[in-house]
Amino acid sequence: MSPRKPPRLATWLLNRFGLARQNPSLMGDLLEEFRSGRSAAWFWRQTVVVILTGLARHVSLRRRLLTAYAIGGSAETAIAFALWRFHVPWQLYASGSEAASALIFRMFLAVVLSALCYVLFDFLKAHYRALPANQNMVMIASERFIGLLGLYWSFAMFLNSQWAFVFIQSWLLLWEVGFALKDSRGVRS
Amino acid sequence: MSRSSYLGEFEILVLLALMRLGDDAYGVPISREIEQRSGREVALGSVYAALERLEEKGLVASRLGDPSAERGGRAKRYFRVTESGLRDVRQTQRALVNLWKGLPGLEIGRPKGRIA
Repeated sequence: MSPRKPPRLATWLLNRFGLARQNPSLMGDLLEEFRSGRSAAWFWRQTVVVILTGLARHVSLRRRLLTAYAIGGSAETAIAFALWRFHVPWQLYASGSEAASALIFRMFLAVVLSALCYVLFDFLKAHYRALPANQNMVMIASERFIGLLGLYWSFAMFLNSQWAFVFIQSWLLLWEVGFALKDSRGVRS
Repeated sequence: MSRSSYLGEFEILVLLALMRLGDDAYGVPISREIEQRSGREVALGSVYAALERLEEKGLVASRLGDPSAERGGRAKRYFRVTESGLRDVRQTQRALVNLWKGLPGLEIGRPKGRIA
């Protein structure tokens, strides 16, 4: 008789979160207990706890890095909201005429603004890891803030719809969260 | 005891379970021991999280056993309490006993009674 198999979705989740690879002994313990007669509900409860404790530990080990991302993202959001509130992007959009030369001007301005932001972004990125932890935090926050603002400007130059602006802002925030998770892998604060 | 070496309630439970189990202390028996002695269900994930914290503090050491088929080819990880772990448990015990002493209705070994 083949041994009992634990719920597939639960084991998929454990693998997906990288927990099975990080802690094979814990996975072995779960399997041993399950095969000794524990229920599928028990296995699910254990899976939820393993995922939650894994996430909590991930955050606790990288709290400085994640705080930096939160500060950078919040600052960028606050400024972007202020720009939206006072219609700054649309003033820039309206600054040219509908002629082809105005389009070229807006494209040029967007590229220059983005390039300036990303030069500073890359400079900070290349230097922050050598700094002490408390300065690292400021640097990471600054680089995220500058990088996102640059990307925001490059998009905002071509928009005159507030809803499109909100959509881009939301997308950028998701992008920011993705960056934070990617960067935090293998890094300890 | 320094501030950084204060032990939480669950950490003390895990350390005491390790001491009771001796050489056979890995995830499954540790969680069973705590469940039997404390009467509450314990998640293996919480046990491992506590053990990793304790290992980082140098209070626990671990070694890998041999992989087995019943565990899907995964090895057991055996834990033991280190000298400094033992010292911290003793200090925590002393501190708790001192705090317990003289509290009306909470003396060790006496049945629960009304606080006078």
